[in-house]
Amino acid sequence: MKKAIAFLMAAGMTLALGASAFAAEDPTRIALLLPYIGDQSYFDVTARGLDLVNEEYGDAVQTQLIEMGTDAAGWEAANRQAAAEGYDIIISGNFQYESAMLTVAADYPDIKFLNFDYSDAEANSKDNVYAVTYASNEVGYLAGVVAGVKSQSGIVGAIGGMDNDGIRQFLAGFMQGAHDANPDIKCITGFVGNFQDTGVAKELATNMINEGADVLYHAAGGAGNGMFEAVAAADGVWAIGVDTDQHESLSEQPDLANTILTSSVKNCDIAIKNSIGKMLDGTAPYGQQEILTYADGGVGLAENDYYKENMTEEELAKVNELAEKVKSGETKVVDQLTDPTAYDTYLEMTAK
Amino acid sequence: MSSFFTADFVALVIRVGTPLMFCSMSAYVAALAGIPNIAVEGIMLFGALFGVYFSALFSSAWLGLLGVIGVGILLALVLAFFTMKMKADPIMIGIALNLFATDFSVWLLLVWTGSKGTTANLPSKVLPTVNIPFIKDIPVLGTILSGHYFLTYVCIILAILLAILVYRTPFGLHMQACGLDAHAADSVGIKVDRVRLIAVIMSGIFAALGGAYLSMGYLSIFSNNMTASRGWIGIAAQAVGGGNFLVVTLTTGVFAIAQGIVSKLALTSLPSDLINTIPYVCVLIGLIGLSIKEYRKRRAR
Repeated sequence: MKKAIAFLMAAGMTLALGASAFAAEDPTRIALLLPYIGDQSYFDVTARGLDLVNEEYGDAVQTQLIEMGTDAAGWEAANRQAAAEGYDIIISGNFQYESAMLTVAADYPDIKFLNFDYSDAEANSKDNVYAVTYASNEVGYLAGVVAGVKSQSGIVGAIGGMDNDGIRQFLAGFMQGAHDANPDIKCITGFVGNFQDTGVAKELATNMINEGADVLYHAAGGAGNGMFEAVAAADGVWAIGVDTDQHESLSEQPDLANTILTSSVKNCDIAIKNSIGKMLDGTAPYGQQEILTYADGGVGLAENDYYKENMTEEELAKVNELAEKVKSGETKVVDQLTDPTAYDTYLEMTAK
Repeated sequence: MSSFFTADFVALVIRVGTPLMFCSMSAYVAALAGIPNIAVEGIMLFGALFGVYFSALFSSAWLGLLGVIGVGILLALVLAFFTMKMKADPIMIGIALNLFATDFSVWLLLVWTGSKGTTANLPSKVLPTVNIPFIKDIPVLGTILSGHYFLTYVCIILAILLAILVYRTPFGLHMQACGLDAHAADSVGIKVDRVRLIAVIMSGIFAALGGAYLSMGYLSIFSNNMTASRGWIGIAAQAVGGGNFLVVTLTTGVFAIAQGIVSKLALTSLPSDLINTIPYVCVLIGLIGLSIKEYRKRRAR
């Protein structure tokens, strides 16, 4: 009996697969592999990229979001399975997840891979891999400028998730931005150790506030919610979100959302849409990497109404002036990935 | 360094120590009666999630808390059923419950909120913080004793009650007897299963309250995997202290101080990877101390 059921199920699945394979006009099948969605931050923005692709290309594409889970042992298997199922384009990436994708990419030369946020340029130099990333240092810089301009106490804080160059990149940029906005600024930084422990992030933020910091920024993924809680419990302190417009995504929790002056965002969604566009029309530079900057629209500030309401004319003007200098190339934001001393240099410079 | 000897630091240690103490009590009371509960982490995670959910559902933090206790009891009954009725290995059931909690909590999160990260879009309630009249105005003492979350005081009261129960009542002796030798306890007329069931239910409630502390006061929303191994630290404290509640409590205190130190040192320029290992190094040192003690005891025999 069991065997019969198993057989029927197998037959059913085969039919279902067969049916989809003969759908009209062979749409390009695209899979996006993420560990999970729902962090109200980075992964959610990335997942929205798939929606943009659907809106833009409609029936020409058939997209699927695949959640790989947080267990590292499953990532390569998930990529391999997606490849085996015959997707034409597989999107994945980020410093934690790219190696699983790249291992599989080497075995499937006919499938095109898009790394939406690469970190290891050399490993991504494959003929079937198109890799983009965001100038995280500029993301941090823009947040730092806002913090430096907004701070009354002259002390600002930044919380990172894991302590690695990818996250230090944000914080180094942040410190530079704050320093450019106010040369007398003092910056305090700290790392949670992971991207989930909201409790630890809250304590770090509380300690920063006790030391006088009045604008806090985070690059700590989901753990960053703990920072907003600490800011909400204090008076006269602002928070700056990261990756996505967190004032918007936390709008159901007004106590938390109203602490968030603005967010410095990576436009992963737009990047995915544009990159898929290039891959579909054949202009994507496979084997090469692109860094999407503020000038490219790859990163920016969430300039929502709340931000405009809570910034004075002069403050906005000052932020825009410094941001324009990044756009024009007049200001070079430090790059932790090519200069590993950048973080420490700015930490010392803003230690006071 | 001066910042470690302030009232603020003591208050910080109490804040981060409360969930650890709940976990330690949970692990302690179950192990004392002879059913090791390693599902503390999982039950805690469910407690954190259901507290937020029920408080949003009933628009009341207190009903939410009641729901948390219910969930704690329910999961304890699951543990009790499989270990006592079905004679399964409690460690296996514990592992199963932990794995179940990790993934099922995400699924519930998705069903209830449409998000897999946080309960940010549920209108949940938090339990109040308690300002003790008069004491709160005393300079140093006020900062240390007053202004904590409601469940912190519950934790302290429960710890005192638990100590009285274990050391000053016949039921406490029965629990210890069941943990030491169930057959011997049975032979003198102790209803082993009943004693163990009550102990496991207490364990479940403690763990669930630890979770509720995290999501209904300390923080105001549930986020995916927010317990972040605190349950395991409680189990480690139980392992160090064994049947001695005072040692379990003191060990928990050491872990709490270690976490407090971490969150202070994290803001200095010391390498963060090293700093983050401090609580775990403390766990290791505690366990090494335990082994040395056991070794000496065995040699003395």
